Amino acid sequence: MKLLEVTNLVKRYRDGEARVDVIRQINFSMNEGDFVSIRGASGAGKSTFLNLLGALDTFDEGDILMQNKSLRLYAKEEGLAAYRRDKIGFIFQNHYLMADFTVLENAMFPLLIQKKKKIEARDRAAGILNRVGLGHRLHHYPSQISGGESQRAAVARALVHEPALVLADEPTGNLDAKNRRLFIELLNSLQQEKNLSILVVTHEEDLASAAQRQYLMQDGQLLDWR
Amino acid sequence: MNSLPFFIAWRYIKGRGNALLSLNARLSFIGIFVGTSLLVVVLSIFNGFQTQLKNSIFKFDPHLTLTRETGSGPEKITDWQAYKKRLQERYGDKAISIEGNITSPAIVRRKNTIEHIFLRGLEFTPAGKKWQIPSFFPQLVEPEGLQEIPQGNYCLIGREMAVNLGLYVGDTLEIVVPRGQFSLQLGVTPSIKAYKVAGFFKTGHYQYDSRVIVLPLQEAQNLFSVGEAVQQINIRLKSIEELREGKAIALKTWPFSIRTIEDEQRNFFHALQLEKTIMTIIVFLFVIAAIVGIVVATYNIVNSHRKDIGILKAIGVRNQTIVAVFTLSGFGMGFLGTLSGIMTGIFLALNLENIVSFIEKVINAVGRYYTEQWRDGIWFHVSLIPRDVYYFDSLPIHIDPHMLHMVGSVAIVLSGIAALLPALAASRLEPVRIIRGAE
Ligand SMILES: Nc1ncnc2c1ncn2[C@@H]1O[C@H](COP(=O)(O)OP(=O)(O)OP(=O)(O)O)[C@@H](O)[C@H]1O
Ligand SMILES: [Mg+2]
Repeated sequence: MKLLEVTNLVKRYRDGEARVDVIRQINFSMNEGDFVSIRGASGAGKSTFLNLLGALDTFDEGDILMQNKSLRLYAKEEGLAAYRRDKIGFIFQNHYLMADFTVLENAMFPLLIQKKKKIEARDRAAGILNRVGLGHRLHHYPSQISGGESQRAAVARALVHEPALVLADEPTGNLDAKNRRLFIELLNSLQQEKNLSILVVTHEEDLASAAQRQYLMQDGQLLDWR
Repeated sequence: MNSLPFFIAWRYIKGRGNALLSLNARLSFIGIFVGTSLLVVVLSIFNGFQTQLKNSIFKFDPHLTLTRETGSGPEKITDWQAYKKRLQERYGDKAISIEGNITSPAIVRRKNTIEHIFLRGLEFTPAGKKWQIPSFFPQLVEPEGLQEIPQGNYCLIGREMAVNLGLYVGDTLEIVVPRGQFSLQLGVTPSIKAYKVAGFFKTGHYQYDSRVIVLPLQEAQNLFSVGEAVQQINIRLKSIEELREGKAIALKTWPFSIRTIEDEQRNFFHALQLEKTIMTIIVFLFVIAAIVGIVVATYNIVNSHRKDIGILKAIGVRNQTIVAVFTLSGFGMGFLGTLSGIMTGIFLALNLENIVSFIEKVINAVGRYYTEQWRDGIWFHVSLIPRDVYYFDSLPIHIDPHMLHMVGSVAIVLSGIAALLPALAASRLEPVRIIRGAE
C-alpha cells in the first residue's frame, strides 16, 4: 500500500538577492511498513527534507501526498497541526521531553492532543513505555533519567498514537556506542512487530544500514545508496 | 471545552513534583497577593473613615435648613407651626422629621472658665414631666442609653466638652445669650441662665462633641425670650442621596432662604470627593502594577518553555491551544494571587487594631532597649495612631463587598488580558526553528 508520494519537491531559502535551493526536485515514495534511511554529509538537506515531510516547514514547488492526500489540501482543510497530530511521529536528536511533566505524561501527550480520554491515554502510554523498557520510570521527570532512557521515552511518545509515518532525525546522535546499539535493536524490533513505516536520517553507518531501503542525500538530491 | 490547556497551564503554574508554585508563578503570585491584600486594607480604612465622618455629621446636622435671612442675620420665625404643617403634607414619608429649631452662638461659663459654644434648641416631645429625646439624636454615652430628661433647666452636652470643662452629670453651668434675638448685635441685653447637665452625647465629630449644647426647644425659647418663635426649620430626609429633589419640594412652600447640608459642609464634601479621587488613583496604580507583573511573569513562563512550545506544535498542538495555555497561566496566577490576597486583606483589616498595637509594642520595646542600653537616653513612647489627633474609639474599618468585588474582578480579568500578549507571542514561535536549535 502506497503511504507517501513526493513529487518534484523544491525548498528554497532566500538570502537577500541570492536564492539557494536546499531541496532540488526530489521524487520519492514509501509504502506502508517500509524502513528507509537517508545518509548524507552535513548541510546536504536531510533535516530540511524530514521537516518538509513532517509539515514543520513549507515547500516551494512540487507536492507531498500522504495516503493520497496532498499536504496543500491538508493545510486548507483540517490544518497542518492536525496532520502532524494524526499522521506523524517525530524523534529528534534531542529527546525534547517536557521537563515539567513525568515520563508517563510526556508519552500521553499525543493522545491527549487527539482528545482521547485520560484513562485510555494513560494505559496506552504505560503500555508502550513498558515495551521500550521504561516501566520502572513512569513517574520520573526527564531530569531524573539517563540520556538513553530519555531517547527511549521519546520513541514511546512518537509511537503511542500509532502514526502513519515515523520521522527520526539523527535519533542516535547524542548516544554512546552501547546505547546506540540498544536503540537500533529496539527500533528494529518495534518496526517488525508493529509494521512501522520509518524514515530515519543519520550520519551513522550502523543505524543507516539497519534499514531495508537506503538513500544518500547529496546537494539537495536523493540518490540510491551504492 | 478542551482540558489540555488547563492541564498544561496548571503544571506551569504549579511546577513539577511537590512544589507549591513554580519560580515564575511565585514571583507574580507574590506581587498580586501583596497588591490586593494591601489594597483591601487601605480601601477598608478609607471607607471606614468616610462612613464614620458621614455618620457623625448626617446624624446631627439637618439635611435642609430653612431660614428667613435679613441683612443683619436670621429673623425670628413666629408662624413656623403653620409652615411645618404644610411642609409635612408636601413631604409625606420622604422626610424623617421636620422641626422648628434654634441654632445660635452662645457663651458658657463654668466657675472661672468661659467658652464660646453653639446652642441648639431641638424639638423634644413632652412625656409627662419629662422631655423625650428625639430618635435622630446621636448616641448618649452618659448615662448610657438615656431616653428622656427632666423638664426645666436641664441640658445635654458633648462628651468632649465635659472632658474639657471637667463636668459631670448633674453639674451646673451658665449659658449667656442675647435676649430677644439670635445674633449678638450692638446694645443687646444678655440673658443668663443656669442649667444642670442631664447627659453627654457623642457624635464622633470632635467639633460638635466639644462645642455644642442642646436644649429642648421650649427651654431655648425661654432663654432667648423669643416667645414661640424659632430661628430655622430643619428637615431630615429619608435618603441623603435625594438632597436636590428634597430641596425642590421645600422651594414650593418656603419662599425664603434654603440651605442644604452640602452648602453648610462644603469643605467636608470636597474632602470626601478628594478622598474618592485618591482612592481611584490608588486602585489605578495597583492595576498598572498588576498588569506589568503578570505580563513579565507570563513572558518568563513562555521563555522558559520555548522548547515545550516547539515540541507541542511539532506533535500537533494548534496555535490557539498554545495561546490558551499561556493566557490561562497568567489568568491562573492572577486568580490565585487575587483570591488569597483578598482573603488576607480582609483578615488584616479585621485585625488591624491588634496588628497596629502589636507593631507599636515592638517598636517601643526595641526603641526603649536601644536608647536605654546603648545610647543612655530616654525613650519616648511612640503611638502609631495618636488618639488625640484621630478622634475615634477604634480604627474605623468598613469592608465594602462592592469594593472587594471590584478589586477582585478587575485584578482577575486584567491578569487574563495581560497574559494574552505573551501568549500570542508564544503561539508565533516556529517549531522548526526551535527544533533546529536556532531559538
Ligand atoms: N532557515 C534557513 N535559512 C537559510 N538556510 C538554511 C536554513 N535552514 C537550513 N539552511 C541551509 O540548508 C542546508 C541544509 O540544511 P539541513 O539542516 O537540512 O542539513 P542536514 O543535512 O540536516 O545537515 P546536518 O547533517 O548537519 O544536520 C544547509 O546548507 C543550511 O545552511
Ligand atoms: Mg540535520
